[in-house]
Amino acid sequence: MTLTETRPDATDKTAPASPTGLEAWLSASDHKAVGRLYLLFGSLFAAIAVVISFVINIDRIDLSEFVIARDLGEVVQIWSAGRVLFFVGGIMPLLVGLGVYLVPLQIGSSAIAFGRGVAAAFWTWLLSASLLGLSYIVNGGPAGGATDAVELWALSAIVALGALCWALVAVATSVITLRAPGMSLARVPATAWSYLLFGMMSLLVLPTVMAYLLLAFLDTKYGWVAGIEARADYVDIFDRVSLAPAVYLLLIPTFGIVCDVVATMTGRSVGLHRSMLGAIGGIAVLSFGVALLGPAWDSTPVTDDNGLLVVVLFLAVLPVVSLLGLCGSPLRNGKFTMRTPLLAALLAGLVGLLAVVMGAVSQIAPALLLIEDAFNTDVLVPEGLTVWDTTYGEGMRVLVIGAASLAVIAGIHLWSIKIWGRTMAEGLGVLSALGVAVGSIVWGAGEIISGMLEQPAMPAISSDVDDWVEVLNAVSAVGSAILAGGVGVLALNIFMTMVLKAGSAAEPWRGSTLEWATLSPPPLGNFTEGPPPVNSAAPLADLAAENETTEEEG
Amino acid sequence: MSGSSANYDLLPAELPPAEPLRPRVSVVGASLVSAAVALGYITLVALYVSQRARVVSSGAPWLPRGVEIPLTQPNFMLMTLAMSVITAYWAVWAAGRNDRQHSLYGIGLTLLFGFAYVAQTFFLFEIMNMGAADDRRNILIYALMGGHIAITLAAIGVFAVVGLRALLGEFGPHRTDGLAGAFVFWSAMFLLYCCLWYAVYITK
Repeated sequence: MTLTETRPDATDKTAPASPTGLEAWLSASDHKAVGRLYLLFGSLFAAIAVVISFVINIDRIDLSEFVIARDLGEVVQIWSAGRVLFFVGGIMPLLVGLGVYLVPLQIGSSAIAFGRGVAAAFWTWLLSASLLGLSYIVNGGPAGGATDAVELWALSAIVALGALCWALVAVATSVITLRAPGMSLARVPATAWSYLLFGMMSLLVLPTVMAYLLLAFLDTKYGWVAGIEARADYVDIFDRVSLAPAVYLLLIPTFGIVCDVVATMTGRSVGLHRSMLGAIGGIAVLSFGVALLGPAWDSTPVTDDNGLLVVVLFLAVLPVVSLLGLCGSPLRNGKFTMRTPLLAALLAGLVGLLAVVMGAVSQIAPALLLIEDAFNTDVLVPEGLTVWDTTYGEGMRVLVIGAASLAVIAGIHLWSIKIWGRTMAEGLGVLSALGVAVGSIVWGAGEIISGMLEQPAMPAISSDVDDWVEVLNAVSAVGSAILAGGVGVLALNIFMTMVLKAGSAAEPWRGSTLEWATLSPPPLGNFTEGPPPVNSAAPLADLAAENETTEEEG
Repeated sequence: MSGSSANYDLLPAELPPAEPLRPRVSVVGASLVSAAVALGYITLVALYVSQRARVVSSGAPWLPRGVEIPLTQPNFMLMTLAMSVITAYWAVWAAGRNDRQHSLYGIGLTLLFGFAYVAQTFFLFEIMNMGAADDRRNILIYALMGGHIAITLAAIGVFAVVGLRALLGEFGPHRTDGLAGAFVFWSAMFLLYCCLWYAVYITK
């Protein structure tokens, strides 16, 4: 064994330089680099998808003729493109990206589980989501006329969902296995906990959609589902995840992020940590139940599945209300200024609550019908509440994706100093949060009320509709335009911070969870000296209290 | 070296602490992937069963005319995969006891059984006399059988890569996580074959 007295230079001059620019992006396998890429491209896809939805909403203002689309097939294609691209290309990747970036930091890990797999999952998702968008352009998707393009649509959707699943496997595995010493599951921060549940529930739901897509692909390939009208039924496949009430899954990370943002911005942790984790768990279990029973939402007459769905959708309000109640305590007792993260988080909570309340309202009629059935009596079902197979479901979807988008805005703004090493533009942040909140509420309200006026879920030419429906469709179009503006501003803000490197590098606030214990942005390996000791759910608050006591004693 | 070791900076104080061993990452990851794959596959089986029930309740035969699904081959396939689960566990068990040779036998036999199962399935395709495009029901059967072949090939790939890494790299009782993860996925693949065996080959 040969020993040298002097250590070699820390920097070897012959070592190859670290890649920069595009090469750095392509070769990145660190979870932070991959997370940033998810956020950038996810926001771009989301902006494009909402603009597509806006276009089809304009077409519905006059229901007696097609304004933009040439025929019903094209209407269904554009309508589906907006919804599917927002789910597969927009909101899911944005949530996944935030999780990939943040969760390892929150749990005090030096890396994410299966780091190279996550990088591969990102590029696979980007390629397949792009092909998914392309398939619509070349006459594919539901109601698509070109068989090859419909096959491309189904295959690319399968691959994109598979890639998202793989990234979620890595996030969930990280939370289970890579937590810092001392961090039991009961001490995991709200966001990391919600991502564990979100990952597990998504892994139980998304493969079901992939199985349906596989059959759609085979049916199309072997000619068993030919013609535009038959292929229009493919819209239903994505209803299992992207339409209400199945889309409730997105509420799991939404409320996890809301809790952490409120705690950080008020400087006080959300009280009763275990109760908070339990309430997020309640949302997860109920949202899985809703996803499982979702197809019963549109079925009439009332069946046994409907009965269960009634119970689940009513119960879903409880954990959301209790979480918001728990968040009320730091808001009452803490000191805070209303900056973008807190504004967006509060709006996310509000819109999320609105979504689950409207979900419960949608079940009043089925509940009354069940009572009628069980007791063999005549119960008067109020007019306007028999909302199945109407645009009511679309309204609920809009509210849920609005809440999830607001949570993403809140999260990105709160942790932007960690993600990019600089804060995001405050003015643009407020604009995007208000745009998404107002847009989703206006759009959602238009769809929900027109659903109560029995506007069918599937867009179609019809003169047999209530006069108010077209007015409400105009309201929905305005709402979708505002939402598109909000998402567009978010994409612009991310681009400015990430690519143009705008914003301040000063730390705007500090939280009590582990991600705040490292540099901004964190170095490779995340924690230069390992994470601090974890003895509670707020380890940095413990550390600060300990230092204060030591100083006083000194 | 004794007495002078203090002069050398062998263990500098400023180095970060060593990475803790991450013994369960592969097992947990494989369990989650297995659950996701199982859910997707069980959805296909459920669609098959509901379609079959609909056709049978209308009084029509489920299998198209001329199509025959023998029982001998599926039973042999079941036994082949059951044996492969035992050999896969053997590989993990031997690795846990630092027995490289037995681990190699276990990995080799598992892969052999896996390839044998794939070959048997293709033979079954031949003797079933069933064209994919002939009937819509055939597509469902092909989706189930083909889907399981895809899962098996993935399991073979994972077991081969993880097995080679275990045998050629650091080997020992503390390095069995990768193999154990591959075993979890392999076992899930076997359980899914049991679903296929009952839903398609037995029930017909």
